[in-house]
Amino acid sequence: MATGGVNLSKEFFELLKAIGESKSKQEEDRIISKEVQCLKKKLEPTPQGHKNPLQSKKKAKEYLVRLLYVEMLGHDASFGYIKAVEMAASASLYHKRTGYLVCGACLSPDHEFRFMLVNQMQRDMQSANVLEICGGLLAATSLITPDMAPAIVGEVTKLITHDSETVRKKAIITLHRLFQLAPDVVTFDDLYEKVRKILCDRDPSVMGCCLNVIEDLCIRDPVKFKELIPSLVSILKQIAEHRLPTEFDYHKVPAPWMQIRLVRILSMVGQGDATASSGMYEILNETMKQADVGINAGYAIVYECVKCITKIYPNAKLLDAAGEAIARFIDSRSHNLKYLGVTGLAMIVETHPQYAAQHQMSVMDCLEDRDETLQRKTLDLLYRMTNPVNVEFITDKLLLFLSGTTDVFLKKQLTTRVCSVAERYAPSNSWYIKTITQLFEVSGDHKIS
Amino acid sequence: FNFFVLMSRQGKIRLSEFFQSYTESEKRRITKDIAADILPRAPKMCNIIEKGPYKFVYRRYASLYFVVGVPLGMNELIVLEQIHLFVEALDGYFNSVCELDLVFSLHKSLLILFEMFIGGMLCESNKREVLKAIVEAEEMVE
Repeated sequence: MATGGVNLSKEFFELLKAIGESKSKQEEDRIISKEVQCLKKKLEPTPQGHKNPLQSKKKAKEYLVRLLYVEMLGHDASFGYIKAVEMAASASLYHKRTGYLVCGACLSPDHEFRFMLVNQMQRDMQSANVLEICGGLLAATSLITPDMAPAIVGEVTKLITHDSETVRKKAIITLHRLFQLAPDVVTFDDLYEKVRKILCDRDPSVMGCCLNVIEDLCIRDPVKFKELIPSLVSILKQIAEHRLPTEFDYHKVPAPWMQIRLVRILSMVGQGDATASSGMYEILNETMKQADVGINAGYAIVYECVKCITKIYPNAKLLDAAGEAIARFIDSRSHNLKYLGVTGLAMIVETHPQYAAQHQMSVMDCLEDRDETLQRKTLDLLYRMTNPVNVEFITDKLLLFLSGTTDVFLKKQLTTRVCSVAERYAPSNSWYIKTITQLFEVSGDHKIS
Repeated sequence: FNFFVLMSRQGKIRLSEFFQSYTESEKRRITKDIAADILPRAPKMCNIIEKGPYKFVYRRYASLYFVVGVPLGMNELIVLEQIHLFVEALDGYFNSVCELDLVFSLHKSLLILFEMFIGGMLCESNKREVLKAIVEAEEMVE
């Protein structure tokens, strides 16, 4: 297994050391300018026949990496871009990949050099070598622009049915990228058809990859995917019951990434639709139970299920289960779980306020916590829990935070919220006037949208 | 994902990748926000910071902060696990990775990142496959 650091020249090492030890931005800038000068000289076209071609390729690769470094630290190294393009055309796979990498990282979307790479990518995608094809596909995802799309869409589409599953995986993602950039070249329906077939791909990891695409498409048009509910439910069932090969297990949880994507897709498709949702209740219950193994990946799945349950057509048993899971999250000692618990409760409470009452104490604790993220999230929850009984208490808290924060985004949000609850639930006119006056005092210069 | 940034405790950027198109000034603002909001956080606190239209989800490994910018609807806990998956892959490649490894082999870390996350989405969750692809490519250098 190759380890880093072995192939580096002393120069590079010195450079990195110097940047690491630099004590100020100016010093860092100075070091980098010197490096830029040095790179400029080295990357000038070399005179014919002076260097051993192999030697200069290795050096050239190192110079490109240094270029990448320079750009990452915010400086311009555009003189070197042409070298990166040349490298992408190299026969050696590793150099080719590095060339593509630097191009992808440094060339802006309207840079003319991107066009030079189209032919190269096409050739790579037609190669017999799987790694070269993958290189071309990966490069395509970061380098393609809408006008380049028609040139490679044919090749990419062919690769979706390639023998190698690595190629198939990357091909579907690349196709999705093309769709995002150029929906006239790759239409929604095109992509939908392809994705349906891949859902039944013989390799589960290819199927898992295409779930990413389905999720994105589902956001744009959930109705179309309702016919896929039975397949999705059956896939989720298989995964949750540990019927995938063990290599898909992440710390004993089977394919958590896929489970979560599936649950999210189901939540989008089941929203507001009783028939669609009824097909999901059983599997959601089962998934939640199976995922409860005490580690983060499992909790993530439970949380996603809770979110789903609050979005789709309501089912009392599931809501109870969700409420229970939330209770455990809020009472846990981990701040992350508390955060998720509060967020989840906020979602349930909107449509089912009865669940809020039993958690009042824990919620209050969260509000007093030093962790600002948690406080803000709890404020959000309180806002959603407002009713005529607790409006005065909650408004007080909202105003308290409003006066204590300097974050513009939060100020605007709180201002709008105080206004809206005051209007809706004001117990008396005098209270309303008092509250609005306080509001003006605290945030008078903010427009209320 | 919207972006992925690795920052050291002193605020130096070790790796940064923006999966959507951001302008230079937006990128700089994000970097500044990360340094201002995340570096001073206490260890027990939430690993999530809400920042208007996106969220920071971060995890600290030794002296390095792995920060991911995600859209609001995303499941934060699974993002934390995805970060961990990436770290496990780096660990497998560098044999017990440390910050210096990432500094000296930026391009290799980026190659691993792109092999796992294409267009900002997790595509290859199998560590073995990721490392196999990278190592095979390296062995093809003449």
